[in-house]
Amino acid sequence: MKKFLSILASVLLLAMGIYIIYLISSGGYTSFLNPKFIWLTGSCSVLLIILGITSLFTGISIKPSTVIIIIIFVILCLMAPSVRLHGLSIGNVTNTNQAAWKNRRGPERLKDADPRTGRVTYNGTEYIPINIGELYMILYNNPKKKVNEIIKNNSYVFRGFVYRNPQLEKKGQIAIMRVAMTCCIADAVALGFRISTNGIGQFKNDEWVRVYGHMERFKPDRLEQTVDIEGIANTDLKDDVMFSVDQIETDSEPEEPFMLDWKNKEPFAY
Amino acid sequence: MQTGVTMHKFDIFAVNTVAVVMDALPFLLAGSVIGALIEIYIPERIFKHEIFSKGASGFIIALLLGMIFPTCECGVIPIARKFAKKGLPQHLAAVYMLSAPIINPVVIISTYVAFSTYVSSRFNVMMVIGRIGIAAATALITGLALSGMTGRNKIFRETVREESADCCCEEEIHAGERLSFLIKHSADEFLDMSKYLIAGAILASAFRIFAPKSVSIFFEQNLPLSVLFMMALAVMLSICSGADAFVAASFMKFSPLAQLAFVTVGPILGLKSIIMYSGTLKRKALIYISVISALFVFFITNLVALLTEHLL
Repeated sequence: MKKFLSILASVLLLAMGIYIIYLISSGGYTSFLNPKFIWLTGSCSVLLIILGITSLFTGISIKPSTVIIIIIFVILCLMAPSVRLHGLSIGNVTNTNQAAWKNRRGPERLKDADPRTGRVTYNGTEYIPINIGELYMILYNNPKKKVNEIIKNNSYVFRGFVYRNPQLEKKGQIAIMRVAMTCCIADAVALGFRISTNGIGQFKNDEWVRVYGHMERFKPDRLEQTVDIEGIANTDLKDDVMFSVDQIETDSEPEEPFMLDWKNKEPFAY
Repeated sequence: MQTGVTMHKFDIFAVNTVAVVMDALPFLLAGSVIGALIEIYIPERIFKHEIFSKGASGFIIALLLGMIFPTCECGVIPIARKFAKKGLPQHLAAVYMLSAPIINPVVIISTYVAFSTYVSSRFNVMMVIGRIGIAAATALITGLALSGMTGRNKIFRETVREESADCCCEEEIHAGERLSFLIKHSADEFLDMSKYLIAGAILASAFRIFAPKSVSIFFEQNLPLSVLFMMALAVMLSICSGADAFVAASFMKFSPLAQLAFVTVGPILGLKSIIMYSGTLKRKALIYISVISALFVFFITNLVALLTEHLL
């Protein structure tokens, strides 16, 4: 029995290592973890495989309860399916995120952006491509006077997914959200801006959109209930700044749906 | 029905669990390998030096060991256990275990960056100092309380390898056998601790998916309640100490002291850690650590709030 458990433990170590390599090579890794850490998890998988192979010869002491829990984990790994979580494709699914991460050369540029400035012009107005997290940074990292100046002088274009809920709809608003990931999906945080639904047409929950407009301050208008996006550690929706929309259009889900990169000056990560 | 998300709760739970474990595996493995290296290469006499047994020097060294052996709360347990086994007074190994996930270069930098990302950059240094200060004080107070229990295996349980009685020490093995022992020690320790990591990740993910957080609005305005709420949330979410500051900083409607309570309690008393402790610590030591740390963090954050209110 001891010998059997020892061999099983070695096989489990090997299986964990191989599963991580599978995740990395299939592209599913970015659905669980920030691709910045591929080197770390990849090194871990190599070490696990080495430990698994060598421990076949040296033997391992393991308790049956450990084997059972690790087997439960292996089952969870196999079950972690393709999941759509509020506009984000997550889960154990082959997607293009990882390739996008590997192949990118600096911040993403919009197709119609000015190659020199990275800005886009729409109906005669120049917009700065930015992501929602970077807009948050502008609001929090500058003194109030400078923020007011920035708000007054700049128009932005960002993308996100639509979030609707009854309390927002009562106010004639929807929210445009984007999720930031630091290490893994478990520490993901959703950030968003409220926009007025006046004259913008119907957008479905979780639909990806591109929004052109500018920030506007208003008196704090708190919601009665905290917005809680299922599966996300925390959600923050600005309650003293609205995004005034010049134009909103349907967009496809980005190759990198999470905000993995934040810049504090142009060109922003968008 | 919001895009069928509710129907997929179990799927999201599975993804979260796998993500938490994947995130922690490299640190657990590194902790196991470092623990094995300590076991094989560091002689016991180092840990039995009088510097560890006299006065405050042992406590200070234990607090600063995280700067030399930086790891998160998953990797720290095998290392602390090995320190204790090698002869470091067990309460000092516990001080290292409680403080190292916070007082280490990686977490200090991530805390600085997190609070300059979401919150005004004027606060980030204060938040870093606050986090280190509260974590150090919590580890010291808990370590002092545990020092009364010190004796062989009064705080730490024996490991599976020790139980199997084929353990080695540096005097007994030949140079050629060291690699083989390193592999065995690392694999044993890793598998032993991964059981608790996986169980903790399952529970923390279940909470994250199935418990509503929309109640947080009721706690934001009252400091003691907000500290309590953030502490409870930190325990249940069990986010890695390298990333928890980003989540804490996103709770912008909560006071900085409640955020500090979150980033201090999470690495010390996260559900994942408690389950890992349960396989490492004696029950009495686990109760001491849980109760003292929780009460102290709650007390100190409220005291600071009271003082700043009166002095500033």
